[in-house]
Amino acid sequence: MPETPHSPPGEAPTLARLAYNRLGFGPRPEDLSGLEHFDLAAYVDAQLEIESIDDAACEHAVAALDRTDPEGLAVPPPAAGLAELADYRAASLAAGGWPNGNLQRQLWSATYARALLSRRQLFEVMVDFWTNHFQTNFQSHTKYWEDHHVIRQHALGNFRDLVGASAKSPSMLYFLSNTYSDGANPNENYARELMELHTLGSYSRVPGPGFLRQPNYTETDVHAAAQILSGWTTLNSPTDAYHFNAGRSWPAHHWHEKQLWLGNDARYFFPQGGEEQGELLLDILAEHPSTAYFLAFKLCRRFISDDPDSFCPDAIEAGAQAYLHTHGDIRATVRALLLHPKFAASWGQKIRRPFEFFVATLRALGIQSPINFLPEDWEDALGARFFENQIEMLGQKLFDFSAPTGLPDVRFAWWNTNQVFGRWSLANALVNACFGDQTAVDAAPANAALDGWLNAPATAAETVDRLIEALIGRSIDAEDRSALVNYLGDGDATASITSTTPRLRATLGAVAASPYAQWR
Amino acid sequence: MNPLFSRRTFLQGCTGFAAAAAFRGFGITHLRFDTEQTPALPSAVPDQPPADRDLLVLVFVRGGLDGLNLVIPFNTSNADRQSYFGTLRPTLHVPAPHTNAARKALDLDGRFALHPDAARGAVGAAVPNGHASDSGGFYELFRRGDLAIVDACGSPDITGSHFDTELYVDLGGKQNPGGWLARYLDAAGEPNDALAVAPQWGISPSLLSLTGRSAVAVPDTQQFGPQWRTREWTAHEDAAALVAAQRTLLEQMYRRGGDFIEQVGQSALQNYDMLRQVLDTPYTPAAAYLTDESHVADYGHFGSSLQAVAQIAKSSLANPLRVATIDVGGGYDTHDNQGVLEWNGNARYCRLVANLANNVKAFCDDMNADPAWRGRFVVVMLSEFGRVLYQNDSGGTDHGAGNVLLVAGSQGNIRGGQIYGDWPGLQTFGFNDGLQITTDYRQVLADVLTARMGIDAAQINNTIFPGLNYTAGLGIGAAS
Repeated sequence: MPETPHSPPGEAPTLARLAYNRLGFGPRPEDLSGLEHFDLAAYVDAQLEIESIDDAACEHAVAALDRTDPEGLAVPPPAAGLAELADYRAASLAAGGWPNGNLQRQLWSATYARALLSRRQLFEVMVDFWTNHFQTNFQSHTKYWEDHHVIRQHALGNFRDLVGASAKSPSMLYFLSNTYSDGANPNENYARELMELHTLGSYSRVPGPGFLRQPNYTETDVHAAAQILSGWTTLNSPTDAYHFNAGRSWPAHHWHEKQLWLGNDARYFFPQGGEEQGELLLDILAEHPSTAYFLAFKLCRRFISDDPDSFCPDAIEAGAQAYLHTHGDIRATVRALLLHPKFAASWGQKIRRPFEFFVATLRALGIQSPINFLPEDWEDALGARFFENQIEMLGQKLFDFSAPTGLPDVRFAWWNTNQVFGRWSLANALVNACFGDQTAVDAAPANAALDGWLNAPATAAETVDRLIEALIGRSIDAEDRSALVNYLGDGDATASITSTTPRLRATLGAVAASPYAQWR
Repeated sequence: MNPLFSRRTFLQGCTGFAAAAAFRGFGITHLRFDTEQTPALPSAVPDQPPADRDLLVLVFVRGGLDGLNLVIPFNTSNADRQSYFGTLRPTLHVPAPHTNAARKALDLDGRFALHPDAARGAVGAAVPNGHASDSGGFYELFRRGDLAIVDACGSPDITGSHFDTELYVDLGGKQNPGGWLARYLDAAGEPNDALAVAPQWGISPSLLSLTGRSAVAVPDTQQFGPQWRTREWTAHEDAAALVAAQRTLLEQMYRRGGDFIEQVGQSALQNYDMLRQVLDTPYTPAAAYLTDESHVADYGHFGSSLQAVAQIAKSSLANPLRVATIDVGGGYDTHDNQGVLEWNGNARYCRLVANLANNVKAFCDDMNADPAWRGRFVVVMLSEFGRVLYQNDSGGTDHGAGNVLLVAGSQGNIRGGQIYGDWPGLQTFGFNDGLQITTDYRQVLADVLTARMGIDAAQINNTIFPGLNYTAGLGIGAAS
């Protein structure tokens, strides 16, 4: 029954544009030259070789962000350790501040800046992907630590390392209750989601008769896994660091031999032991074929199609096989599915989520300066607090989601009346914030950056084509283009347009809010 | 500081397993959605829905409510008493009515009793932190016959997974490709733009339509609609003209309605004037909602959402609101530090209960104050599953099975004041050591749809819940 959706109107974009949209946050103006001879494999390989990408400019911009919080304290830098974060938290609380909120805002600043400026675009997308795959949030200040030391550390590394780091991440231990899990009847929260959301998936994804029918684990397995993982905790640690709690009214069952059936396909035996039982469990889960197919499915859904099971099952297969052959190498997995022909043929399969829309619009406009989300700039209606509120209204406030699924990755969740109006308002706000306020219908302020971006002066027709090229990246319906030209030039396609043209900014906002610009 | 912004707006959804997840079901990874949009329904459907249909407000309590501590089986049998107060919930139980405890349950029918924070304002409910919205909560609704409770209710598709089970409930059965509420609107012959709202960020999967039917997300009544914003908080008078010009351009570009992006955009542009008019009309609720951060764990989402539903319902009589969906969260997935009666520290159960009870009571009072809606609305509250009957060693409860399902009505449109369902007792455990499920939640929904919303049993069994084999159900809905 599943069908390929109708192709979006207008022509399809080039493979280069598709790659910049899907493997990053859309092209910047400087990316657009020299794309005639685009080689997808070379681009993917270069993007995966993050060590070889000089990203000093972006790192400098991130380091230069003002980290002064509203109480005048310095929020720790992204690489801060747990002790430094604990100290900051205590100092902020003593000053009547709000440490977790400030840390979250600083992490937004860094994350938006990297999405906007980093040349390691695919890496930033993978960080976003794993941030959602291993969703936690700022109910614990240690989410700040997790971003740098878990997600970014392993985003293009080996999955076993990543899931292992996540399992010991204080933010995860707290978010899914494992830190409290001990005693004769440990809680199952983390153990269940580890299998359902982080590794196996609830039903088998291995092709064959069991596909989406055979449960990957029984409820008994969930309880056994909870027993195995009980005692992985942060309790009694002054910095909230992970440790294996061997002392605390320790239940005998933890040390007992155990077994898991994992969907009855095999029996996994856990010899008597302590922490190593949990490590063995992670080994088994990371090596399990359903994990390979589940991760490949989710990566395909991220990069290729909302419905990869019907659109690109062979790309899932390619990714899963790469994963299995390399024992969880994330780069090899991503490379295999991106270089599968279905990726290049997937135009119309994905739309932008709000964060992608936000950053892609800024990148298209050539904006260099990052947003600092820390200041309490209530007086500024286009300040940090406004953008925070707007992205929240659009449902994608980063590091905030409360469900361990992470945010949805399909269009139904991201396109509705709220999104239509919210993205439209956001586009207008970005234009005014970046290029100066327009407060009159018949006058607009001169702005050198906008003129430079437009190659002003130019005719109304040339200007509309420039907007379409930057924000949409393919030709659109002829009548739609005519309507835009007609409005911008007030009926004259040859009218000379500059940043002071009263209709320019409204045209820009309309192009950004158009159906064309929502596709990824 | 602009009054629209506050720390509260920043915090929304920050904590626990919260209301942010209106569309969480879409996170599911093993069901396929048909992304093909079939043409709109034929125009034979009436322009106006029949006037004798009630508004259905579907409240999904996401995370797995511990129903056992909301509706307490304090006197269902000696064995149950010993189990509940002793072996199963030694530290996570609510003291029985007629005991000397300062905080204790309120007797409903001699067998079951209500958590005191679900009865705030009722005589005998000893509750701290008094609030203007304390007007008896579920206790008062039950007493006057406007609340039906179904116990041991649940889904035959239950798994241990929140996300799978929630989605199956939203679909009205795991084999169905779309949302059951969208199928209801189709079966009832409601026009394609019948007003269905979700006063949150996204549309609940229960409204996922395979027939091109539109639903409206209204996250914030203050900021709904497009804006031309500059660095001044006060909108200048030319802003409206700039937005109007953009709207013309966007109507042009969305005019085809040919794919999902264009369909939704077209619907938004078409409904905008009506909704803006509704939301611009000053609204003073006729009852106090509970949104104070000191009292609720979801930063006021649920109370605000219910008030928005009442506002939209009362202001849109020309195109009556047919269905509304609200997700409520804030930490119902109580694996640890659940608490029972504590209003301090990490425990949040009291706030979860008060949020539900006070706000649904406020909504009923608010709607009953309007003669056009009195006797014309039903609120259904359900959760994907209950908790394990026994507590764990983290001071919480894990994923269980059967649970309470609550139906609030108005002026006799439901047969309230009763507790429905076959009580299975606490001596035998159901799936995952939860309460046994003895009533399929769809039987209750079918009761409401057939008695109050213009649907017959054949439509239930053929279209809305295919294969349910619904006949008389529990008789909760009172035929109009």
